[in-house]
Amino acid sequence: MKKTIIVFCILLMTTGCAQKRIIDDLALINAIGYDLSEENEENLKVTATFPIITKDGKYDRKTIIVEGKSSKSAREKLKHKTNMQLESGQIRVSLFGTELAKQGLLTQLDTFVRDPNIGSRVLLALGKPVASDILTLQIENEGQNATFLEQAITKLHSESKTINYDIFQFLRDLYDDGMDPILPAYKVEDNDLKYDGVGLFQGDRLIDYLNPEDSKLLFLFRKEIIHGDLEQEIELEEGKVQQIMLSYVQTKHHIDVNSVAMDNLVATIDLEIQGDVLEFTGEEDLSDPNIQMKVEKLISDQLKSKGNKLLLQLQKMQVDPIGIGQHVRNHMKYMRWKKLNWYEEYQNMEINVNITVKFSSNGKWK
Amino acid sequence: MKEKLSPIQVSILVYMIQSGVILFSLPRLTGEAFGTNGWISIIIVSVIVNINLILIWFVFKVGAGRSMFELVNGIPKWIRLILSLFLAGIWLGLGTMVMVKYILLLKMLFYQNVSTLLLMTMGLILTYLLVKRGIYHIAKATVVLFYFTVWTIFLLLFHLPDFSFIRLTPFIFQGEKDLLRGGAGIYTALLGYELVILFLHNVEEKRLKAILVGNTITSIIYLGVCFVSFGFFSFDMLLEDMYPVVTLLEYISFPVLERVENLIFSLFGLKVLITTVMYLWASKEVLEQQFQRIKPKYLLLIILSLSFFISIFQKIMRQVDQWLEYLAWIEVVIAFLLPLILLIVAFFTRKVNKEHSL
Repeated sequence: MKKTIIVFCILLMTTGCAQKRIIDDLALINAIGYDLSEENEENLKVTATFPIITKDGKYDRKTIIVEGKSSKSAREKLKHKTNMQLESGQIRVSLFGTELAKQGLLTQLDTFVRDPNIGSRVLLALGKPVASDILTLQIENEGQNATFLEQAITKLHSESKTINYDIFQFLRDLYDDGMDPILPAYKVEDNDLKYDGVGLFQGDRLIDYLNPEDSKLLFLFRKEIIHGDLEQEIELEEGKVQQIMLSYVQTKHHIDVNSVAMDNLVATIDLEIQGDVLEFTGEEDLSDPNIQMKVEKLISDQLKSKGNKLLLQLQKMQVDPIGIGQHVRNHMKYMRWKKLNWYEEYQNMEINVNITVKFSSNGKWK
Repeated sequence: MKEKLSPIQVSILVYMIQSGVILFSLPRLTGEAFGTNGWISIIIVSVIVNINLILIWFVFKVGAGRSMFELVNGIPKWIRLILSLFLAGIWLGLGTMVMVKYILLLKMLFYQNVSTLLLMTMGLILTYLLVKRGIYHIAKATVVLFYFTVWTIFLLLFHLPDFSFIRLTPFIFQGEKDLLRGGAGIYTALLGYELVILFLHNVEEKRLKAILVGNTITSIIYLGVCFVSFGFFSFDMLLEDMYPVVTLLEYISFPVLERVENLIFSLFGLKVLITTVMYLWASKEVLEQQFQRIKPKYLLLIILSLSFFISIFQKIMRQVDQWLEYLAWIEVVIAFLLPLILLIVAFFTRKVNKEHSL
């Protein structure tokens, strides 16, 4: 027993071997942004922000912008611009500008996965149009932009099951041959930070953005929203537009792939959501089963047509954020999948959507 | 050395010698060697190890419970000397390299500025304390260390939300493969079991069952880790990640605690310690039989000094990997050949004895 205690003590003491770091002297970068340099296309513009304590004891932040050939070489220059020791172990959010993302993110992400100081839970996001705008924005009484972004992205996380917003999830989908990653996008609007849909990627290159409304539908298809809110405009009578809002639970999510002929792939996405009505601006009696069924069908049809439109748009862009490719891959033989030119096949294949919306109740009111 | 080992101690000891630094890269190694769904290969490799273990057990069945050293007494002295020096050298090298590899990883991940030699000295002090008292005490300490570390397997539950069967793909052993070299690499992950040949005669009862259970514990844990990795990472990402298990640990986040890999990785050091302890112990045992005039304590100090001396020159990861690979290959051959040789000797002596008694 004595020996075990010695063993344990020595192991504990090894922690003392680490380099001494005094927290007051550290610049703990909590967010970092990457953009293409405006002057020299080959260079990176790196924006780093970290919390500081001002002379009068207030909690503040400092944002530094430098240019460099790579992330780490920019960091060397960052060092010259501060009197504190830079630490990247506390990075929570990393932002990428649109133009840079269009060129591909893999080279930039290398530093995150190679450097053991940085964990795999660093959140990633896109900055519209540039990342530095978002990090340099000073919002009154809001504190750290990094904390705001971290909380905002984590909120998106908690509203869904899993969304590919951290470095591990992004890379996982990037390296998956049957799926493309997505990232949330933020922009500055009226001196405020605003979520602005998701960026669609093909491999590591940004192709285009999707607006927040379509993004919601995309998450539904990705089986990432288990429960959420659905807002819909319906016309029970012609010319009378009514608003209806549901709080729903996804009860079925199934993607099926069939090949009718050798080269004719058909994918079907089956979705079923059940929801409680929270708001309805129409005058009809929603407690009437017939009207309920009518409204259900109306919403289902609308969602289906919206979904079809979204899918066509995705197919045209040759991006596969839903992961149809995974199902196609698992459906065929290995050699056939390897020989398949997936994006071409994806663009031309037939993808059907079946969405069934059911009301579990009409709320507390008729 | 009078006390006998209980079967549970032996099972745990076998598991603790087997599991070591290779675990951190094992999911990638299985993917590189066998392609898609490479985790299945652990089962195949585990079966081969079991066959090897049965072979070792058989040696003692035929040898009527005599120890390895009693058995080899029939061999000419000069052959015994060469064999002993060779075995001691390999085991000394393996024990040292395993610890050096762990220390280099520790250095890369957490303590970039700490000297390898300082960490190595700490490791060797612990090794000295354990080896000095002999196998019975090592086994007792191992059981305690086992409980310190084995719970970490339950951390895999944290990865279930991100686990997906779709990523496993229905393809079995497809894609680029490196069956021979890669397969040997996976086999080396289970190495360490061959040391039971040195203490099997010292086990109370249920010898075969105890060693097979030990290997099964290791295999199940390896299988669990690899299986989860294949559904957690996408296949191509798994191939890119040098140490997927470190990434797995990194990904765990508790409400108030993140980056727990710092803590867990140090705990893994205990498993590595036992691996080193047992290899150096084996090395000492073999030399002790050859050089009975030297006090065992001095012999141990010589071994530890040699081990330290070797570690001075090991500063580069790829060199250490290379050494480990070569030594492990030789060890695989030893694991099969040594019991075979002993089996032949045992048969032979039994025959001679029978003729004598007639």
